[in-house]
Amino acid sequence: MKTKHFALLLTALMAVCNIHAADISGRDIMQKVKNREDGDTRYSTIEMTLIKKSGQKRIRKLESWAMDIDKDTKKIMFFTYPGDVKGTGFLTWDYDDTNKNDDKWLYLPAMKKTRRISGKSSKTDYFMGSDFTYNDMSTRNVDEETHTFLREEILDGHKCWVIKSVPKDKDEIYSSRITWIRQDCLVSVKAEYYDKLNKLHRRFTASNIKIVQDIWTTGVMNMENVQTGHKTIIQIGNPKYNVKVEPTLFTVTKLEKGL
Amino acid sequence: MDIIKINSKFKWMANWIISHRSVVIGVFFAFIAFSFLGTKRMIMKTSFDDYFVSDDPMLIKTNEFKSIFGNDYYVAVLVKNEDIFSAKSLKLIRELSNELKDSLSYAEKVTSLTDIEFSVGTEDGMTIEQIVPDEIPTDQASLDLIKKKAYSKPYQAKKLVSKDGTMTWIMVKLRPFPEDSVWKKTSDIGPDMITGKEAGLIAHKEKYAALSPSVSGMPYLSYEKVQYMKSEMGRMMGFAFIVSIIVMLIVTRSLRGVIAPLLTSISALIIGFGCIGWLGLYVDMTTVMIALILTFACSIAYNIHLYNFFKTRFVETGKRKASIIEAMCETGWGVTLSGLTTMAAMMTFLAMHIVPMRAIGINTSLCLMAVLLTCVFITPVVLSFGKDREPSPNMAKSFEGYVGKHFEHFGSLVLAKHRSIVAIAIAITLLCGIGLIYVEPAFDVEKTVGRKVPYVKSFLELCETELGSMYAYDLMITLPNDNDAKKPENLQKLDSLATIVDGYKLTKRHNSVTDIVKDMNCTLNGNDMKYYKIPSDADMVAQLLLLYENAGGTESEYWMDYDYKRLRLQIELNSYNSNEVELEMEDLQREARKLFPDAHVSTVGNIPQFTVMQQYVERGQMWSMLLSVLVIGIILFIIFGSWKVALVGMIPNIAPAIIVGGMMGWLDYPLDMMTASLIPMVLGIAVDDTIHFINHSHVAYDRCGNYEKAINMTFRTEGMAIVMSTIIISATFSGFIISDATQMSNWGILAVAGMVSALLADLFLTPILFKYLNVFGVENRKE
Repeated sequence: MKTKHFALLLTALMAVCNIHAADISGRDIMQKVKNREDGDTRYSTIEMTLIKKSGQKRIRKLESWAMDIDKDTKKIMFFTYPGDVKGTGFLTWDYDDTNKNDDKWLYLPAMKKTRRISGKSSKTDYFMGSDFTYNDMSTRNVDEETHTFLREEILDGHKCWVIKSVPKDKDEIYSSRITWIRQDCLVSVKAEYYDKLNKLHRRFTASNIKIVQDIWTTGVMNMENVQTGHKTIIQIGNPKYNVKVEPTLFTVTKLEKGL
Repeated sequence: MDIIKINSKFKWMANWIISHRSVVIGVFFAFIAFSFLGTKRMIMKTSFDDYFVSDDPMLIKTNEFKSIFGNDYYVAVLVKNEDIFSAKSLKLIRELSNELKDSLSYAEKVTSLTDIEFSVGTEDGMTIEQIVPDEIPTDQASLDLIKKKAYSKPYQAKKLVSKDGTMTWIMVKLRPFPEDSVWKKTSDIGPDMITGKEAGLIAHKEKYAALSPSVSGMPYLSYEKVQYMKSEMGRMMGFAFIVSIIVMLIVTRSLRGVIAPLLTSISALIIGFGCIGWLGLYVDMTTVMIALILTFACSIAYNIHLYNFFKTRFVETGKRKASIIEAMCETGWGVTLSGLTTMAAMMTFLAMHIVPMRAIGINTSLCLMAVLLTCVFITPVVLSFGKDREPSPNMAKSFEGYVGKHFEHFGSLVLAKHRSIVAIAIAITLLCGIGLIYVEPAFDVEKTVGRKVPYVKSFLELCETELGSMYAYDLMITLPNDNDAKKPENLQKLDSLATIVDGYKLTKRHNSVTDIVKDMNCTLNGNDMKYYKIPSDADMVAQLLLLYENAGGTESEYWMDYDYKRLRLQIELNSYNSNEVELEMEDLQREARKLFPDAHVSTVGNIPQFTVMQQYVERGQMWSMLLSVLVIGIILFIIFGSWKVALVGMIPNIAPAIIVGGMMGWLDYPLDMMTASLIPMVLGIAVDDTIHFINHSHVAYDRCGNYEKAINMTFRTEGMAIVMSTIIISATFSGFIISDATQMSNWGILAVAGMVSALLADLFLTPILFKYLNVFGVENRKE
């Protein structure tokens, strides 16, 4: 499975052509969303804010680079905030081959050592205590879900396709997902995730969608767990595409060297 | 108050009711229909949090804790099998874990042998894996490897699997339950009840039978309790129903004499509970049970007074309607007073700082009000249907005449033996008074419900296993500044607190964020157990926690808040002994304050709630008892306009209160929600007979001016009704005695003892006190 840089995952969409609902299936739409241009390399800063129902917040900031090499993706990210984790780095090589485990290294400045992390945490686990799962953050194979075109709808003045997707993997945490995809830019602007009891579980919204270097980019992603009242806001800052980076950036040596 | 005037008002009212009975019946049926709709709106409360009034400091503390750390309720399943590491068992455990995760409405996270955050240290880093792989192997070598891995981290294994490999613990953390206003839109069952019910249904599916699953956790305990109480309430109400019919048949020897009280009782219950439903008042199983049984008993008792008088007059005169009017005239005020005093006594529960106790007061008062209304308006209508009869040629030879004569003799005997009677009464009261000192409160399920009840037995047996636990409490440490909680020195102190907790007798296990930090430190250092400790570098701690989250770990937020200001130490108990746990909690808080002098330290969770509730019950019980004595005394003073009468009314009624309390002390019956309701209730009911006695004696004395004659006349007309009403109420309450649940059986025994002692006090002490104190004036002057 190909896991792409999460900050760009739900963003960077390009309208390819005018597609009429009558002529296209749910799967076709999702395939077009997946095939959007998002550059060969990417850079951005990320601010992730976790908010509890009580209002308590936890903020984390990172800097992130990613590079596509054939069908695989390499990415490196460093924490910049809070101070006590500053410099902590993660290096990941994501392989398109689903039979091959991703390679991960972690650099802990306090330990001054790089540790290799093998095995994998479940894709259905939540990412870094947020409301996004690892699966939410990745460009999944379109055929991992069964997609059904539901209707066309105007959302916030934009014409959208509404697609229902049902995962084939019984271990997924949701039983179905309804996604609103803007027809002009093929960006997912809203999604509702239903749990195994068919109750609304999480609600995703995307905002601040703009064109950066000819690539549609989402500036803010919000995921709320409506059952617990917990939410996560991810703000993408200073996005850049096709940045000049060397493949050596995505190595353990660079990880240990830091920013 | 001029009783004769009041009686004439009742006579007028009875006249009006009988002559407009179709109107009364029409209004009554409309009211019943309206009330019936109200009963559908009643929602049973089951959560222990609902016991606290909204501004209670304990509830505020609990809510604050929940807003920070989430739901402190959980459900767990103890799985037992000859070999939990066999392929078949592992497959079933995984299936059960997945079903609990997917099908429990409020499940947030499942931790089980087949679903656990498990990281293992390697030479160059760490590997994140599952103990049991996605594909469960069938060959023995691979299964042995799984077993080895499960025990590879002893600190984790002791929370997950038993030493002999025959048991494992599946823990389901729950997401916060929604506010009442939210869940009530879609359901009439509370989230904790739904959780308990769903957990039971899932675990007890036939396909999991090989795992012998036992469910634990407060939601399941509450659900099982409600189910048991429902069946028990049906059984006891059925018993009360049959017993009361038998007693009424004996007393009235007439079908109408049975139907009238039953009809009014059932109607009063519908009206009472309808009002509760429409007003959205608090109801739970205990409050409903007490309201039901008390309403039923009082309704029959009030009717018996009315019916007894009616029957006597009807036998004498043969004129039905005139007999009803006379019965209402003579007993209407007495019945009304009885109802009002019982209501006043029950309303003293409002002095308690406990929601269910207040609800007992309000709900039973509403039901008693409904009883009064039906008794005064409907009973005369029911009795009025039918023809007149020939009057009895010789009243003295009738049953009523025969019994009346014997009661008259009894009255003379009491007055003659007054010294011995007073001496015996003082001796018994003193003995019981001493017993009051030994009354102790208790909230634990073993003491209050007992092992005879199947669900309690299975809960207690589960707690006695190596892994099973039912009760838990938390220690919350709020440090002065943000980020203090992840400082190594504070985590090390928390770890030493955990070591202290290990030494407590009731500790089964404990959980905190230190488990995670120590595990990550150990894992990152090649599983070397010497690193199973809190690192001394603050950045290292922060980075370990970050790594934990990055590896998919979600547990840390259960134990440390978002501001890194609060720490939580959860202590799971192997059993619940209210006194022992109170001492342990006090000690833990003392130790925590020593270690964290600048922090705010408090215990939260069900056990501290139980402890606080026990204190409230103790204090509230005392207040309620004193208030009910005072209120009843004041009412008697207002009604009879004489402090002497008020005093005479009180003395024979304080005695049963002392006897009930004394019995609790001597027989080691714990003070709990049910027994706490007893004394004011017994006082409220017992005073009814005294009022009837005073009322009739007063009228009789005004007529004859002689105490002995007045007392004998009262015994003749009221003796039978007083004895019969007590017998009926006691018979109704005695249904509780047969219950397997300790608190119900205790309640039944004490209620019957209270009623019988009140009757004895009325029969033996009240007449003597009349004469001693010349309550209606000095005899000579009158004559």
